[in-house]
Amino acid sequence: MKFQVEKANLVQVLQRIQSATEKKTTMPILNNCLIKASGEGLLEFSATDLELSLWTEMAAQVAMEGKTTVSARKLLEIVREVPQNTISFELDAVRGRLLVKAGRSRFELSTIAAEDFPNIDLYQDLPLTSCDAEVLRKALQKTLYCIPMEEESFATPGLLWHGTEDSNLRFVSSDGHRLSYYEVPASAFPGFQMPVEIIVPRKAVQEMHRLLEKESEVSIGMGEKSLVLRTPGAFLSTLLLEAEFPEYENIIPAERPYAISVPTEILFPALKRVALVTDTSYRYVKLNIGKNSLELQSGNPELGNANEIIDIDYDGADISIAFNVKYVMESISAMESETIRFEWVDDGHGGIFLGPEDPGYFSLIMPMVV
Amino acid sequence: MKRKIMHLDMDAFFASVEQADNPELAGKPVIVGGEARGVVCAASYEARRFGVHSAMPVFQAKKLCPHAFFLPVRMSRYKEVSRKIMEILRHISPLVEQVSVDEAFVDITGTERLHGSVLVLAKRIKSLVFETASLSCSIGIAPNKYLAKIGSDYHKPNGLTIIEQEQIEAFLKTLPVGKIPGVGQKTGEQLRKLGMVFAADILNFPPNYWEAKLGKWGASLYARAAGIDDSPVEPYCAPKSVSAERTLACDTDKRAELEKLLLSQAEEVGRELRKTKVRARTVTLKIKFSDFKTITRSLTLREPCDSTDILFATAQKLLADLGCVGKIRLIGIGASNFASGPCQMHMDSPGRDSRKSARLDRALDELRSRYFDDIIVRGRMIDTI
Repeated sequence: MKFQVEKANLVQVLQRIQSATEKKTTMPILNNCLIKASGEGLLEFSATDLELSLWTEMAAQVAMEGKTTVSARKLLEIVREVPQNTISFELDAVRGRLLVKAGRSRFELSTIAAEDFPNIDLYQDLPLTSCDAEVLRKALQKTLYCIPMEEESFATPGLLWHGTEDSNLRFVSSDGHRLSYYEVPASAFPGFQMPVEIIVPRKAVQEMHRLLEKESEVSIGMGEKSLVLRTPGAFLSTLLLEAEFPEYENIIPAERPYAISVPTEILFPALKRVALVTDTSYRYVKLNIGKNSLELQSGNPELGNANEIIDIDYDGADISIAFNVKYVMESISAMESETIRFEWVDDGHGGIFLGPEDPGYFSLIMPMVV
Repeated sequence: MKRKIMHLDMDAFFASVEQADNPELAGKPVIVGGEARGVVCAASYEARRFGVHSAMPVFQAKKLCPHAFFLPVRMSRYKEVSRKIMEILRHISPLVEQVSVDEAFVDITGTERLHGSVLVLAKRIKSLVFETASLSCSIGIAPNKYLAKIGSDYHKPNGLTIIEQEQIEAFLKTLPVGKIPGVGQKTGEQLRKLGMVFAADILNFPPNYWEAKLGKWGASLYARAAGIDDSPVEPYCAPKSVSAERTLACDTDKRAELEKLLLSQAEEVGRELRKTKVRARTVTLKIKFSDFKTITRSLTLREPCDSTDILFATAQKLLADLGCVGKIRLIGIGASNFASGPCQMHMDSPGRDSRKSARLDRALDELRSRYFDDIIVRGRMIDTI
């Protein structure tokens, strides 16, 4: 195997590929990516952690066909540091080394034979339907931050795709303290067939989101226990999470008798300011809401405290309710709306944050007891 | 710097307070301790002559000393007296570590120019305590806490023992192993079997020998026998657990009766937690069966709590999880593993509707502290006919 590639393109591809590899594993081959050079000037890269698999291709000047596997992370680190624009690769099959040459730098990387690489099922025969990439990207971006690393009660390490009776597709994630919820018309995914509920693992959501950041064309499909996504230059497949998603609908108060609206450009910077005197053990911001006034209050016995008053239009019952300020800021960051609406029942139920100009989305945050 | 640590220990504290409050009891055997089936909390020296000692079951004390005055525990009164005594100590030095209601360490290093020699100071404290509360106490003064504690116990009651640095070695040569704090009956016996009569005997063997013999505590035993203790006097030590327990009037396996006790204990523990503004993560159920076998079962909650309802529900669950287990003699609840500061509510928390119950807790606490504990009780606590 022998080929030459452009550095900039390779860095991009390797960044994607590297994040799909398994970092904590006893199987060294899962740290590696499979590189395949074919005669048509195509270079293919694959990586897998046995649940998630990613395949991507790029153009290269291929002098000799072949394939091998090499540490994806090391390769990325090397390619990044090289100053030259063109990098050439050559496999020394006898010694099992991949030679990387750029200018006067030369690396010899140890390899594992391509035959030892797990057989990745890329579900090539699965029927795929094209969908609205922008809608899918938004759905993943608005829910990713609530997906927990580990499973716990009311916390599933994956994103729920829930097909509702009224032909909507709902994306829900929850870490037990907060929940994000985005509902879009299923017509954004024409022809996409799935069971009522599927759960896509956290890592897959992350990788899909990364792919969609740079793509406008995407198609998806469902296997028996897997979801696949294809963009012009990449193909991703993931096993679905076999777990029970918590009964999130019971957590969301149907009736929220009180609400206020605040311009985002006023609320967010104010939260950022009062958050300056919070720390890991005192992470709260207290919203003291009274007639036409919202006071943000935070504090920490070691650092001191802060408060800021914002004029609002409100004439309901007074309330004082505290939230993790980081949660509130993350949920506001996920919205594209000039105003933020906060709706609540009392200080014992989750508060709802939403953006009126960003329909379909809201986040629920459980209060803190201060 | 050479330290000077004082340990003050009240003599037969609860019993002496009773005698001081009621002059008719003076010079007579007085035993303080719950109900018929509880244990002795304190025995006056007159009662101790009959072999009664604290932690002995009351029925046994009755056999040994039937003519004694058996009195219930009046903890709030003892605490009141205790506060006055601790106040005296805080005037001597800011470094006062109160160990319990009737004992404290005071770091008096370098106070000679202010208070005079340690002997003068100790005598003055003893007379101040007597003037204030008509009670006697025992004092030990030594270069560290552990020797000071041994000192206060050395000539009880109304004792005063001062151990200077240069006397330590000689002192340990004649100190029976059983007097070393931490050496109870079992270890004491074990040590005597090995031929250890006095503390200094232990030093004939290296620390790793004791560690192999007695585990981790063996190493600290060696240090103690050598008279070494670097632990500082810590003026305030936040409590690490709160608990309530009770020996029943008669053994029972009736769930309803046990739960009623648990509820009142949950109230007591919850109130203390709320008062000290901490929340507990771990709830422990303690049970002593008729055959005196004692077990504890704990559950760690996802969110720390200070609510009577949750404490009770958790203890109730722990009790239910035990299944049918026979007659119970003592039952109690403990709360530990504290957290303070703000606390994130969880979607799955049993207290999702807990705000109401928190308000109820607060209202009950308020009423009880303003009036008296039984001003209001939960419906569950009332016997249905």
